[in-house]
Parts: sequence; structure tokens; C-alpha cells
Amino acid sequence: MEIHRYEKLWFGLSLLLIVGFIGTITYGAVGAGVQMVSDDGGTVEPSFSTINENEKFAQQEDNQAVHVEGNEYEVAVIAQRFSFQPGTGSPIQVPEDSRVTFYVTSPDVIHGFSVVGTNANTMVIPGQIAEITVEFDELDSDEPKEYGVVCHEFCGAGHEEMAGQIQVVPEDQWEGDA
Amino acid sequence: MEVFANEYPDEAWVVRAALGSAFVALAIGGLMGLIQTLHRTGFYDSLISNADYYTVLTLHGVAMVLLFTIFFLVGFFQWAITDSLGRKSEDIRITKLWYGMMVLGSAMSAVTILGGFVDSGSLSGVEADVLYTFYAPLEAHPLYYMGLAVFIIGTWIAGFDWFRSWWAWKKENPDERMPLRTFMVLTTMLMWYLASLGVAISVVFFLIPWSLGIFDSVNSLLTRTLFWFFGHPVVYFWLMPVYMMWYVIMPKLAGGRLFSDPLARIVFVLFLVLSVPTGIHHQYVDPGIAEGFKFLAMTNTMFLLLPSLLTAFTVVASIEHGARQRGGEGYFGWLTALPWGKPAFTGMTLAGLMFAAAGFSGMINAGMSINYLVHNTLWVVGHFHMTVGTAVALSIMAATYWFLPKITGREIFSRRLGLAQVLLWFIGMVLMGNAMHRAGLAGVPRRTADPTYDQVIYDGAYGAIGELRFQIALGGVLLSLSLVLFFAHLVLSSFDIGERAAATPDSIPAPLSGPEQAPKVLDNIRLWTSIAVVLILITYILPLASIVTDGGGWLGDSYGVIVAEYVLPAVSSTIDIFVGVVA
Amino acid sequence: MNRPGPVGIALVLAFAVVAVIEFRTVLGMVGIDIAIGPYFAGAAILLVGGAAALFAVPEELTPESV
Ligand code: HEM
Ligand SMILES: [Cu+2]
Ligand SMILES: [Cu+2]
Repeated sequence: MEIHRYEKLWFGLSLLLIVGFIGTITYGAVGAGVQMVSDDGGTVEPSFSTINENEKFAQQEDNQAVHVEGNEYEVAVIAQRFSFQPGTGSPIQVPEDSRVTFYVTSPDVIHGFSVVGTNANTMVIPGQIAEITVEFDELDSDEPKEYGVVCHEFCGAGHEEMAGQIQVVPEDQWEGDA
Repeated sequence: MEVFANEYPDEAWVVRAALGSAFVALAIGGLMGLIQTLHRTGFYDSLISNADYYTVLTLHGVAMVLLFTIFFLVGFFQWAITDSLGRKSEDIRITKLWYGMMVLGSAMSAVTILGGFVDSGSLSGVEADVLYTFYAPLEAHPLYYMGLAVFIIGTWIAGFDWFRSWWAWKKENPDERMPLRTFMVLTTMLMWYLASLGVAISVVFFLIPWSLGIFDSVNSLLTRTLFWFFGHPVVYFWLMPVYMMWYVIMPKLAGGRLFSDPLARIVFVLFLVLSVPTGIHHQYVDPGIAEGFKFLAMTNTMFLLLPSLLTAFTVVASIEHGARQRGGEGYFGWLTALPWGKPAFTGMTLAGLMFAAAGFSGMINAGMSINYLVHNTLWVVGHFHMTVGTAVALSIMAATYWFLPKITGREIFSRRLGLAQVLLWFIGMVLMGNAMHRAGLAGVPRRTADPTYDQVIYDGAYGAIGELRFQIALGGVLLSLSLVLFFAHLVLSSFDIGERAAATPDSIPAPLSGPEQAPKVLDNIRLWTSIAVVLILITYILPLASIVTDGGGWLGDSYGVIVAEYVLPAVSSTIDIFVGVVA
Repeated sequence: MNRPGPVGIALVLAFAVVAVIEFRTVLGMVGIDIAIGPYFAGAAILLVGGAAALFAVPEELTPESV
């Protein structure tokens, strides 16, 4: 088969581009430690009673992040038609300069959990517990900082109402356990 | 050669009917599109309620990407098979049967979607506000799923019909190479059989029984994964007829011929092999699927860039060749020698240009870590309006100016009007597509009747949000105007105004490097299909097994029961057999 | 190079419309705000120019189907 010189060149460059893409992402995952949503969060039967018995959800008593150790915290969120609990109504509170792991699940239909304008983003699927870890930097002032959270998957009439907030609280105003 | 419509009147009837159905869907979808852009940007949101927005959106999605694209495909492929093999349909009744089934299926689903607008009377309770992705446990009326099933079975019979033509031809011409257009149709259909299996299983075994009340629950992640098993390759189903136009029609319009027949075949083989084992890239942010499986899907996806990059080369090279035949000179000067006055050529070129641009946002979507930034934002909507909404839709509309005379026997009404239409679509889509991408970066979600929230302030990285909204609405209006021009053109062409008989000869010039240069193995579609099957097994068996075993069983109702006891042995013995075959 | 014909002018103006509208957003990014009214009037004139150029496109070259 005759392949033109330019065809070969183009083919080679295309392959290079592709391998380059895969390379950078592999580096991101292995070298820089960018984490994906995976199956680490485990599963739970999609009903309120079983979700509330789950260890992570049982320990979530109010809207404040639960301290684990050092600067690590956990928040368990139930996404349901058409609110986040906690998050809608009163914001989820996390301290500044912390690593917070969110556990999110749904008792009804598929939802989304997206912290607007950041790459903290996961689907929320009934039966599955999504686990994402988010790093909150130190604040530049002593005012709390707010992030919007939206449901980005259609979940029924009323979906456009489904949103919440995360509030990053300065260390000296943090009332939760530390 | 005679004009197609006169040589094959029965087949031309089916082609015209299929195109007619496609354009009805396009008209309905376009009207919904206009309502959406004005509603969700807040420019005119009193026509429908927020709740009805999702009915509108379901109709838009289904009409555009399932009905418009696929009806056009079957019509165009029927022409390609009949014309390239030079033989009538083996049994025209079968041809009419599959067309009829597709119409019936569409009608069934359409009724349930339209029922969403009606709150009382005999249609109340008949609804399908589930969007075209119908993620369970959002539930539609059973007729919605049944309609989809009937529609898909119609396409399966169409594929069988085309294979039959090829088998019959082969018997009479045992020593000849498969004609290029037939090759493209058959490889595309094989890909389609593999891909549509996923959604067929989901619909027939889970969603229909569940919506009828036979099962109480479904495994949400399982049906979602089965949907995307189909949902990614379906984009190539939209794209393949367009690639056929770019390979076959564009070089001819440019005054030349296809650069390389073998390369075109390689491209279609690559699509057959790689299209399906990539669907998990739509689930990068799904819980319940391990990172490794996502990585595998990403690797396949990245390699799938290859056939499109090769296409870019071949198509541009063929066009340049055509321009030089017409007297074009210089590094870039040849561009002025192209037939820009032909709406078919100009439209397809603009569509190709936009596809190249959209390719870049696609590469971003494909990267599994950067995908987190854009997943389910308007960015994605911008991306696919430039791909399926322009590369495919604009190419289809443009090619129709060339294609219509073949199947009706009469020239189109006016090339000026055609040019105005394709240019307007291009302008409208640059505005809408680009602004959607940027709004997505600021975090504006897709699929919502109203993206303003008390709790959220968008930080427009590039341009204020108000401005982006305005651009989206303006673009949407220009696109709708372009559609009006398109339909006006169709109507005017079908009246007697300016009636001229379609020109002859009606033929496609032979490629520069012909099929004799292509190794025989390329035509061994059995081999390529087997490789595709193996790749699919590798990428899908394990994730599906873990979704079923860990995620509550086949129906999502058996948490704590060890489903592993009956599923895992089946999986491991499949793998044993597979390893045995390979070793 | 030949002088551009009406089709060429229409094509160039189509690209210009887009460039002009996007350019305003880019200017906005760097802090230069231009009132929207006169700006879009300019874009509309380009659009009308493109449409006018299309009217000069001859209808009878070769049939579309060849
Ligand atoms: C008049 C032209 C069009 C306009 C104004 C338009 C407008 C829109 C808008 C604003 C959305 C986003 C809605 C949302 O996420 O809330 C949308 C979604 C969509 N559009 Fe279009 N569109 C047009 C043409 C097309 C074409 C030609 C196609 C494909 C052939 C297409 C396919 C889709 C699909 C698949 C969706 C996603 C539906 C979903 O999320 O379920 N559109 N369109
Ligand atoms: Cu929602
Ligand atoms: Cu995809």
C-alpha cells in the first residue's frame, strides 16, 4: 500500500499528540496526585433509614465538618429532591486551611454535586456513595468565604431550585471540633 | 448515468421519506431549541413554566440526536448502498418495513413526551420528562421505552437489508473489491449493532419491565453504564454519514477526487474497533467505577482521535488537489480557487472548520482529570452543538443542497438562499457555542430551566455572565433564523418555482489512490468486528461485574446479599475462555 | 491573486461579524467597556453587507447537483 510522505508525517505527529495527552494525565494522576472519583466510597441501599445508619452519615449531626485528625475533616451530604442536607438552608461549614472529604449519596434519583467554578464535582447516584476530597486554602482576610454548590443533573421538576453553599470559616471563628 | 431518482424510483421514495422524517424532527427540535435559549437566559421565560422546560428539553434532545440524525442516516445510507452497488433493494417491502418501524417507534415515544405538556384529560399521567438519556430511577411511561426499542429494531433491520444487498452483489461479482461507500455503510452498521446492544439490554431487560411494574427497582448505575455503552458510539453513528460526505462529495465538489481510498477504509475500521470501549469517559465523575477502568476508557478515547486527525488530513488534501485542478496556486492562494459559491461546499467546509475547533474542546473533555472542571456544565453543551449540532447538522443541511436533486430529479431553488442559510448557521453557532463554553468554565450548569441561584455567584473568567447570556440568546436566534431559511428553501424547491431537471452525469470520481492499493485484509470486516468485541469485553466486563456485585445486584435491591456468588463465577469463566482463546 | 467576488466578500464579512462581537468581550476582559448599542449596530451593518453581497452571487453557474 502506498502511503504518501506527508501522510506518514501527519500520522506520526498525531500519534505523538495522543501519547503526549495520555502522558500528561498519567503524570497528573501518579506524579501530582490528582484524585478521581472512584468506587472507594462504597455503597449503601438508597433509603433514608439505611443511609442514616451508615457510619459516615450517622456522625453528621449538623452542618459542620466533622474533625478526623490534623487538618482533615469529613462531611456527609444527602442529595435529595430538591436540596442538599446539609448545604441548602444553612451552609456547610468547614475551617480554612483544611482537607475535607465529602461523602455524598442519594435516596431517590441521580443528582450532581458541583462546587461552582472549581473542579470539585461528582455525580450522586442512588446506591453509591461518592467520595471526593477538597482542599481549602487559608483565607486572605478574616471574613468567611462562600462557595455555591449546585445539582448539575436533571432530577425532576424543581431541579433548578437545588443548590446549597459551603462556607469556609476563619480559624478563630471555627466553632466545630478541631 | 441517469439521475438516481429516475433509475431507482422505489429506493428514492424511501430515501425521500427518511429525509422528510429527519427534517420534521429538525423543525420540531429547532423550535424547542429557540424556546430553551430564550428561557434559560431569561430573555423570554413566560412562554412555558420551569417544569415544562424539561419536557421541551427532552423533545429537543430526542428530536435532534435520535430522530433527525438517524433518519437522515438511513436515507443517506440507502442511497449509498443502492448507488455504489448499482442494484435495487433485494426486497423493497423489507426496506419499507424498517422505515415504517422507525416511524412507528418515533411516534410512540413522541406521544409520551408531548404528554408532558398536558396536565389533564386522557393524556394526563402519560409523561416522559426524562431527557434523551432517561437515567433511571427517573421514570417515563412504558410506551417511551417501547418506542425507542421499536425504533432501534427498525435500524437493525435496515442494516440487515444493506448486508443482504452486499451479499447478493458479492455473489455476482466475486472478484471485485467492496465499493468504498458500501464499505463505509457496513462498517458503520457493525459498530451500531455492537453499540446499540447496550441500550437495548437496558431498555428491554430492565426499564420496560420496571416501568410496567414487574420489577420494583433498577440498579441506577447499571442502566446508566449501559446507556453510555451506547451513548458514546452513537456519536460516531451521527458522524459517519458526514464523514462519508466529506470523503466522497466534498472532493468532487472541489473539482477533484478523494486523495486515498485505503486511508478512508483504515479510518472506518478504526471507528469500528475503538468506538464502543470508550463510553465510560462519560462517567469520569461517577462513583462506583474504579479509577483504572476510567483510565482504560480514556486511553481508548485518546486513540480514537487518530481517525479524525487522519480524516482532517485526507479531506483537506483532497480539496487542495481539487483546487489545484481548477487552477489554484500558491501556498494559500488555492483556497480562492474553491467553489465557495456552492452552498453545499461552503456549508460542509464551515462545518468541518467548526469540527476542528470543537475537537479541541473534546480533547479537554476526554482528559479525565480536567474533565472535573467542565463536567455537566454549559461547556459540554457548547461542545456538542459544535460537533453534532454543526459538524453533523450543518453538513447534513449543506449536503442536502447537493443531494436533493439526486433523489427528486429537480434542481434546488436558489444557491443564494442556500449560502445565506449556511453562513447564518455558522455565525449563530460561533456566538452560541463559544459563549456556552465560557459560561461553562464559570460553572453554569447545563440542563436547568434557570441557572441563577441565590447561593451562587458566577465568576466569569472570560466575559461577564450577563454578556455571555446575551451571546447565547443572540446565537440561538440566528440559528433559528437559519433553520427558517432552510425550510423555506425545501418548500420552495418542492414547488414548481424555478424547476429545472437535475444535471447528469451523476457519478462520483475514482480516488487518486484506488482500492487496489488497499491491502485485502482491510475488507475483512469479520476480523475487525472480532477485535472490537474483544476490546469491549476487556473494558466492560469487570466494571459491569463490580457494579452488579457491589452495587445492589441486577435490580439494585439486594444490598448485603452476596450477588458475587452467582455473578463472579460466570465472569471468571468467561475470562478463562477468553484467555484460552488468546493463548 | 484575483479580486474577491461577491461570495468571497460575504464569507469574509461572516467571519468579521463573529470577530467583532467576540472582540467586545475580549476588550471587556481587559477592562475596556464599550456601550452595547452602537457596537451591535456596527455588527448588524456588517451582517447586512454580507447579505447584500449574497444578492450579487450569480444564480446560474453550474447546477448544484454536479
Ligand atoms: C436552532 C438551533 C439550536 C438551538 C437554539 C439549541 C439550543 C440548545 C440549548 C440552549 C440547549 C441547552 C439546554 C440546557 O442544558 O438547559 C440545548 C441542548 C441540546 N441540544 Fe440544542 N440547539 C439547537 C440545535 C441543536 C442541534 C442541531 C442539535 C443536534 C443535532 C442539538 C442537540 C442538543 C442536545 C443533544 C442537547 C442536550 C439535551 C439534554 O441535555 O438532554 N441542538 N440546545
Ligand atoms: Cu437536580
Ligand atoms: Cu463520548
